Amino acid sequence: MRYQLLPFRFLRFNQNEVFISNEVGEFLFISNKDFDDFINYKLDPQSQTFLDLKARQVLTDTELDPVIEMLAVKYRTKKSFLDSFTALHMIVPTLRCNSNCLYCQVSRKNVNAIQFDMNKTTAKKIVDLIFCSPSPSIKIEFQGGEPLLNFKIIKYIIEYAEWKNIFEKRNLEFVICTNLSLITPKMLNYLRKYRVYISTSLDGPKDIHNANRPLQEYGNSYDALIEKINLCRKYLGPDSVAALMTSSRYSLGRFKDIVDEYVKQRFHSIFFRSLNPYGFADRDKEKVGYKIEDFIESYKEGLDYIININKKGTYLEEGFASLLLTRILTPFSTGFVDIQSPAGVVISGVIYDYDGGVYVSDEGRMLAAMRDKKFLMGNVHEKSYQELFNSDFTRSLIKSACLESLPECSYCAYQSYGGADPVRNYSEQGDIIGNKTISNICKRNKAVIKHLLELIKKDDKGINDVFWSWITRTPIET
Amino acid sequence: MTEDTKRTIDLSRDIYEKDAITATAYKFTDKYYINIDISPENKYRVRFKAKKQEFNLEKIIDNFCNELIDQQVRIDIGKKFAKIRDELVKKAFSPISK
Repeated sequence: MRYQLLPFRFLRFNQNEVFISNEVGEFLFISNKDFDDFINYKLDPQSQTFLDLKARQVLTDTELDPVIEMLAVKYRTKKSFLDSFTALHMIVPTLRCNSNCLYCQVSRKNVNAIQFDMNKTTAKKIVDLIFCSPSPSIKIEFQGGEPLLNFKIIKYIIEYAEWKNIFEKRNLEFVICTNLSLITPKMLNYLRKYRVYISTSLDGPKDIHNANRPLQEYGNSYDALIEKINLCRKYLGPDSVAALMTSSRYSLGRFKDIVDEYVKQRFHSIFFRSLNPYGFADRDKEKVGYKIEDFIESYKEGLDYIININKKGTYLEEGFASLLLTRILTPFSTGFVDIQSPAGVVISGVIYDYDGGVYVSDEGRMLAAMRDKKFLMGNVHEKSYQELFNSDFTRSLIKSACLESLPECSYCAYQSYGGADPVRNYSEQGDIIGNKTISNICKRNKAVIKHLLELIKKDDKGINDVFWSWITRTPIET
Repeated sequence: MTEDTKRTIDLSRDIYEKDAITATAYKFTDKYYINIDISPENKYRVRFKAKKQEFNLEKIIDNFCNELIDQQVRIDIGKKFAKIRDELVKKAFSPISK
């Protein structure tokens, strides 16, 4: 009996099996023999493989139109992160910083260099521009430098945005990314009033954190950070602070210790982040950097450790795995600025520098700090919203950042789970498309996706329960 | 570079398409310099030169040929559902009809 092949991609998963995925990320593994039979129209319609392929809409033996309709609905759902355009607006109130991070990616400025502070005129123009975005949700995220060094401009932006929003009625949200060293009870009362979330950095236990992220005044930033995390929780609530970690060379091989620290500090989420090649991380790569293969090994070890902790009843999600699992195992849309197709640059998030410069992403701004302004869209003092967001430059950049049309990515069976990152490609290779065979990000993403698929393939109840608890953000019932 | 760092293979133009050979060659560009040309016998001629001495050329031809088959299969099956893929994406981004 003849059947119709539907759009799918494949790769040789191991010596015996082929991994098949369709346009919307539904997948299955079949044997090499079944694969040969399948593509040569010799598959037995009564076989389990045939039924599995049909169930995942990789083939059909019924009327075609309803199947296309169904796949189109799923595709639309998967890409619905594109619906509302730019929601994430990052603002740099100052480039000054009192930290002395080994891997500083933004090339911080001295704490006394007030010429790198944003002024009110620039802040007002930025907020006006942000509200030109059609997105029903607006998230304003304060980045740095250390943003609390210019708290008065943060207050101005929050209050002006809140005032504008009386008329605009968007879902307005604020986040401050801070090392917390300067936070005070007075600030926290203010942040509570405006429901501002806090995102900080915790790189692991005391020795790793102090090695990676010392303060300029004294090396022991860890004790101060833990004290301030607890202060924030006292004023803003137990889940008011999120933490991110960045892996330097000192972190590799220590992911178990880092996980233990997150559990000890009562965090429910961790995101194993590899180093980005910008700023001091790029300048000092011989000292703090590492091969991506070493990061991948540490990642796998850390992930297995977290899974076991969850199995024992402690809820701790690994953010990168959780994002990918949602893409692999559910039909839902998951926009994530760094890993989506089309890329998140401009259409999902932009960043406004202290001087009003608008960059396609935080990484674009980081490159500018290294004297390469390729990803500068313009300045709020000189260009309108239309001129910035609807420019030939923006359109051309996004056109070059769709996996569906990039070399190797276009036929990659992991395409539905991955994303394009033109700024990273440019930074690593001097080209926004880049050669995938030497891309560290591609190597990392593929290795983690394959590891997750191998774990899914085990069909182990304990692991499955952990994965679904992350996807649904619900602790396992024990 | 010595001759040990170079390999050449000729491939039938009746069996393989240029796109399949290019896509396959791309996957090997991290370790090898690759040149694609037409031989005097009117075949595709692919030349490999290792970028570094330590990159093993022993299995390069075998690995390339296996990968080439997969790439040609991708092109062949892609032709069978290319229109369906276009229709699917077109429908997905069309306004919902009332």
